[in-house]
Amino acid sequence: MSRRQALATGSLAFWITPGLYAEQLLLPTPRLTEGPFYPDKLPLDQDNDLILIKDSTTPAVGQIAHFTGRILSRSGQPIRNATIEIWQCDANAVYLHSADSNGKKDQQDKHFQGYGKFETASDGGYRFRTIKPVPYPGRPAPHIHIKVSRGDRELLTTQCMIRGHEGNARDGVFRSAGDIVDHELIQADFTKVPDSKMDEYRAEFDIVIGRTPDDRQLQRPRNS
Amino acid sequence: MNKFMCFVVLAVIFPAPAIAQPPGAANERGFGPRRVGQRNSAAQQERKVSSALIKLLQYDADDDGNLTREELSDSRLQALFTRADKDSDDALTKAELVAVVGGNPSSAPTRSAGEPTQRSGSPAVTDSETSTVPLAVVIPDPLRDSLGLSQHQRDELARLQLEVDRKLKQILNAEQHSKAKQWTEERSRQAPASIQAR
Repeated sequence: MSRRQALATGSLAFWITPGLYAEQLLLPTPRLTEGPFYPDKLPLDQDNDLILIKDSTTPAVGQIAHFTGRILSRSGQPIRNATIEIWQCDANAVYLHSADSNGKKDQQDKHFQGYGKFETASDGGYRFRTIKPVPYPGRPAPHIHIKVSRGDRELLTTQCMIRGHEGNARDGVFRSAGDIVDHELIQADFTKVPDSKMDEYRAEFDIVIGRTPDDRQLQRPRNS
Repeated sequence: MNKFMCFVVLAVIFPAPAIAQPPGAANERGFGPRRVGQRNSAAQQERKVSSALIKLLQYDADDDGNLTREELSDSRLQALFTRADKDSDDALTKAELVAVVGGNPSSAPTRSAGEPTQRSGSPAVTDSETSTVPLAVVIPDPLRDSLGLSQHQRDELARLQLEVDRKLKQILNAEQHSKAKQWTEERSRQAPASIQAR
């Protein structure tokens, strides 16, 4: 059996064998589209604080959100040395991508980093300081784009949306994201940090990696 | 006349939409998988209800058909549990389960087409904005229903349909696409019942 066949069989089994869900394995975080605006030119500052660029003292516009969580396997084991990248549009709905920002230079928040990266330690945890996501034209559901990889293998591309946001029900990506359980797995509660001076939010979003082989391998047509 | 209504497309599945990143894309809309037409909504809804139920009932450790908060051990599903637990007794009866996943609690988990879905504590879903009739239907509903497809086949078919919609949107320019959509939607309004297999 070739490697590809083996992978194909594996992914087929994933879809058709309900038994794989059994024994209380965690449900995998649904895969969602990467969208067109993964930065075409990564910023110089790629740290996990998207509010301040390098040594700047001017913070990004928007409501600060502490976006944290863990990256787990389906059995609940933390995944270490996983790289999580996030990207999202700024408070004025401009992405760090020339196809989006070129026509919106006046609108763009130059102080928002737009993209950040974090590598997990043995606890699988990640932590970002960013802004609470806002809607984007054509995307009524505010969202943070997420890509998880390990080494050079991409494990998951998905998005995190705001639980209970009124735009979700009208959002094409949200609506096509599977059943109501899947919907739960791509939303996080954005709650106000008590006693915060500046209207800060926190959101915890655990990410469960369904399969560890490279996404792209598994997404090849199964019958070819 | 039926020929018009019978769009059968030979579609090729391309690698993941998640990876594809066409150049010059200026609008984020359209890069998510699009919804299959609303005419599919009854079957689609039924499928979503059953798949959600299957997932939730896997947590039913003692297999009694009810789900306690303890049994639903995944912290990511606690919000769903709270929403579903109408009487706040920390246990979900079958009726509560079926209701929260969008089914009809008093009978089998089905729902008629066009009936709005209440979910996520958000307003009932209205389809006015996102209503889409696919430009090209891979397998028309009546044919699909007559084939006796397995759940897996239905899922695969839905995926293929999304892929076809997505590719078409890439191939056509915006003007062509909207013209084609208009045409298709008019057609489906005129004679929805005549969409059928050869």
